[in-house]
Amino acid sequence: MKSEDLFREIGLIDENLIDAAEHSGINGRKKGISKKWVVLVACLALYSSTATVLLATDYIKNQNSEPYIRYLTAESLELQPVTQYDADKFLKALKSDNNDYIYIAINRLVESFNDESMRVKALKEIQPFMESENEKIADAAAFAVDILSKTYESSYIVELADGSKIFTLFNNYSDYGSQNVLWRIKDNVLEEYFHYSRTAMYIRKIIPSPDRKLIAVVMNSNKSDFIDIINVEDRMTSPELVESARVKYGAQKELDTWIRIDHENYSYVNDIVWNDNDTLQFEGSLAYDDTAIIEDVIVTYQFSKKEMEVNKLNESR
Amino acid sequence: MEDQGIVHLYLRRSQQALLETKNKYGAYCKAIARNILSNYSDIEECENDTYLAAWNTIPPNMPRKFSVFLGRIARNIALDKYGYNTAKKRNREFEVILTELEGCLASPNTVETEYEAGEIANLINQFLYEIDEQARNLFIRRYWYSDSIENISRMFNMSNSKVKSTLFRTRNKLRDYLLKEGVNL
Repeated sequence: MKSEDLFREIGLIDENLIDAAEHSGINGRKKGISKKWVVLVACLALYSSTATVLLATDYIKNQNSEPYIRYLTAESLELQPVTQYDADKFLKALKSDNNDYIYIAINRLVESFNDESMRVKALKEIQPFMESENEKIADAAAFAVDILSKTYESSYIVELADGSKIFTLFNNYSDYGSQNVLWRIKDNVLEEYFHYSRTAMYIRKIIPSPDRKLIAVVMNSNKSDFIDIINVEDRMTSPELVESARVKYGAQKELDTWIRIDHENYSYVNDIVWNDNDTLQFEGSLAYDDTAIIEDVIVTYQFSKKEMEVNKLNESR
Repeated sequence: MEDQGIVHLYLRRSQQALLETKNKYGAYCKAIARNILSNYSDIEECENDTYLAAWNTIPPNMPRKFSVFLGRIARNIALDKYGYNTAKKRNREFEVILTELEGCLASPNTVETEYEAGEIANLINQFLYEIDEQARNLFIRRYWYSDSIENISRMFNMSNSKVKSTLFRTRNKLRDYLLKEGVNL
């Protein structure tokens, strides 16, 4: 290969890298420009004492010095390109003697689903781990193989009416539940469907409606439970139901109800069932006044009408 | 005008797109061409060819980063013109850059393997993501934008020798990385 060919290959590198380099060291250049402006302003002040000139100069100076930022993204805040998904890194990690690395790599390799050659490669490399003595690794491998081989027989997968599949990765990695990210395969394409906030740290369960058009996503942190109903196809979601029930019931009973900024409401749910294709019912244990008051309630929520009913548990029975 | 607006003009086949591109990115394209070519008429021709190529490729292409998209075109056109130029007309600064890159290539005694376009670029990408940010930016400024050592020194507030030594180390690391990945250039 000639050096011109190598130079040409360098031309094909990731545009994020080129863009980042374009803006690198720019502060130095900006400083230079602003110094020139300072000199220019000084000269103008010497040659002209009219306020108009000074105002105009000041205006131009501001026009050039104010940064224009439309959105503060994670990428711009880090001042470097976002790390891209690198399947090879996870393939290498499979050879590690650290079980945590292997477990993470197996789960992350599911993300190579859309790259046909990488999918086949990952599938081949993960298969032996199904026989692992480490139960968590064997379970993760069985699930990854089920997805990557497009078998879709795992009980962790929820199949919806439109044929799409919803699931989580890192299934039951903690005593509390699975990773708080919903993945979806539709028309043979994998997408990260939704990433929940930090408060909803784990996904405990995904319960489909009888007609499989809606799903109830049951989440929890270490101190609270949360439920969302999602119409996956239309990408519509209910408000978070546990907090909503807590606020509604608090208003009904004139209880002192505050919402914590971290949404830790110390409230829990039980017996979650779909009454019909549109209505979810669950028992709630709702906390008020810093858990001094606990109210056991039964909650029903009709998704299409956005109607919630909250009644004291004993009264409703 | 924002990049999105300019691209929209291309999609609508409005010739205003070319004017807006020239206004916003004319100097940028010229700077890239000037770092590779030495003759002014070649540089101007390269700039105009870049607009024409953008006009011919949008649509169907939808550039995600318009500046990089144009820069890439300008760079390729300039490189083609550089190849046609006789030794007398060549840009000496750029010849130095190519000579530096020879350090990343295998010795003349080694048997070369043929690689598909983009194959090596992927490896270079991986390599660049692995090295530290400053070394990466210096490398890209030198070997993508073809900036002179003096310009890079000013840009990063470093001495010339520091820039040169960082680039030297990065080139050596790249050569080792490619060899480790089984690439024989």
